[in-house]
Amino acid sequence: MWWFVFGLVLGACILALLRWKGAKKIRMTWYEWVMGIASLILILLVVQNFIGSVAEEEPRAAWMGVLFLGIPAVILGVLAVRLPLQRQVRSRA
Amino acid sequence: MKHHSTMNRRTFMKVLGLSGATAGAATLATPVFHDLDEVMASPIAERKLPFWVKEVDKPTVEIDWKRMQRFDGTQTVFNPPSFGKAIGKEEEERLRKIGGLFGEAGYGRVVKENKPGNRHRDLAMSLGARFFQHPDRYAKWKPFLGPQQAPTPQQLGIPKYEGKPEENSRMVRAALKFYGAATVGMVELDENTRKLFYSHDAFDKKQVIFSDVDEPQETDTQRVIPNRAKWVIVFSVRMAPANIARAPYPASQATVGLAYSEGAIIANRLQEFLRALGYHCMAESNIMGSLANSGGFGVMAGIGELSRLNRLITPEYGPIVRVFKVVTDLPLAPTKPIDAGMREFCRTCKKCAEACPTKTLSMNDPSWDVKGFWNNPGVKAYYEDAPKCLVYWRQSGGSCIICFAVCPFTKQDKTFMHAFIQKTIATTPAFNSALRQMDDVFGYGKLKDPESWWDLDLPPFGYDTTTRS
Repeated sequence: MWWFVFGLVLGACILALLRWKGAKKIRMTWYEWVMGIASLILILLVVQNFIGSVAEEEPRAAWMGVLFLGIPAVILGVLAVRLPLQRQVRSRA
Repeated sequence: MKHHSTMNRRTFMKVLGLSGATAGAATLATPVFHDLDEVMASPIAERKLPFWVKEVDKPTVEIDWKRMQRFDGTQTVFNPPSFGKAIGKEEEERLRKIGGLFGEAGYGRVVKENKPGNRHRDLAMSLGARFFQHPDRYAKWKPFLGPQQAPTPQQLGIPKYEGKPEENSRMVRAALKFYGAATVGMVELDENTRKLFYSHDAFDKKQVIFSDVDEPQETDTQRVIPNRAKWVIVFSVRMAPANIARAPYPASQATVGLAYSEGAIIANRLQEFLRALGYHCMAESNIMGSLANSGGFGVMAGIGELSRLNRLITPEYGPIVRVFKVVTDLPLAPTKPIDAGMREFCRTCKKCAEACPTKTLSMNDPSWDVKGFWNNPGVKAYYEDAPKCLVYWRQSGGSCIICFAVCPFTKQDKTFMHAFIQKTIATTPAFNSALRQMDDVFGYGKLKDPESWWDLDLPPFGYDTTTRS
């Protein structure tokens, strides 16, 4: 059930992101795609590890997973969005 | 079968360290409650039912308590005279001739027909499973020889089961898993592996000998294993991770005891299964090690690797299993020992030895030198100072098993991380030291509050049989 709800939310987010990208006519390079996909995979792993660790009665492991996997996920995700945005702003200027 | 989560909502939130059901993931888990009081006041806190099942004041079957009186059990049709009374004496006689009291006289006839689903092995498997259905009949069996209640092929008038060793191994593994075993391996005995049998029983001191006899025997002083019984079946029975995490308290001892009890009864089931196929199967008179060395046979059968605990660590369940063995004359294909990098990991880890309250476990490298007369030499092992451990048991009024609880291989498989790390340990020992450090950083091996065990909603036996959890 968790994964079903999570899948719905994630799918909606990805759809919204792709629509926004299309509307804004943002072009992404191959390595920005790689960073975005890597970020998404890491987010999935963070969620899986968090839920699993809590079910195992290991709250510290849950939060450490957020720290070790979540921070790279956020960095990669921000880069994957910011880099093409900045390029677009620069090209307009 | 999918089991419920091992946690109720209250524990889930407690574990998260959240005070209410309003934050993040906890919200997903508690869609219908507004605070903890509502959760605890709810019937769901007492019993978990699927959402489509409602509790009702009256059962869905109509009952008239005024019309009902206590019933005489002899009047049920399971009582043969009552059955005769119901269907007529003549018919009862006719059926008894072809089927016996409960169909057992028809076993041989059905097996001779050899139809799919009704073959010899199917019957034997069923007989093994149900031997304890009538516990009143089995008060005085000798565990070494088994309950000896299942009909043998001779009694059924059919030939004994014959199969290739590989087929037999597959068959035994399938039956044993159905009976409750977690993992199964086989060892073919030779002059070396026979040394893993004790010369004398640890408890009743009976001598264990191999001899050129046709039948296994047990006297007041000896247990005799026929020389043609050349195969040892080794199997593990799981213990509950949530209980082990509550070492050294009775919750942990409970899962140890339950696994030992289960192992004993599984061995009895196997004995009946093999008896019905026409073979002998000799088990332990006392399941805590009266026949042979569990760790030794576990290693040789590939159930696990010998660890710093001087016990087995299995790749599937870590150390939290009990290991059992029986010896049989059914030819079996042996399984090989395994290497999953676990013993190598023990070399750098030492977490169990550090946590041991009596410093019983070795902090050194494995050695040929034994710690005392209680160790059998010939293995380069992490020999432990075992008496210290038992002193602790007696002083603490229980046992311990803290070493099992803190072992980095004592993990459930609810997060992907464990499988990933286990594969790394198996292939890249260079990371072992770092992985041990990470185990500490992630907070693993911390013993849990024993009181909280009662708040858990555990699956039967305390472990989910569909996963390693």
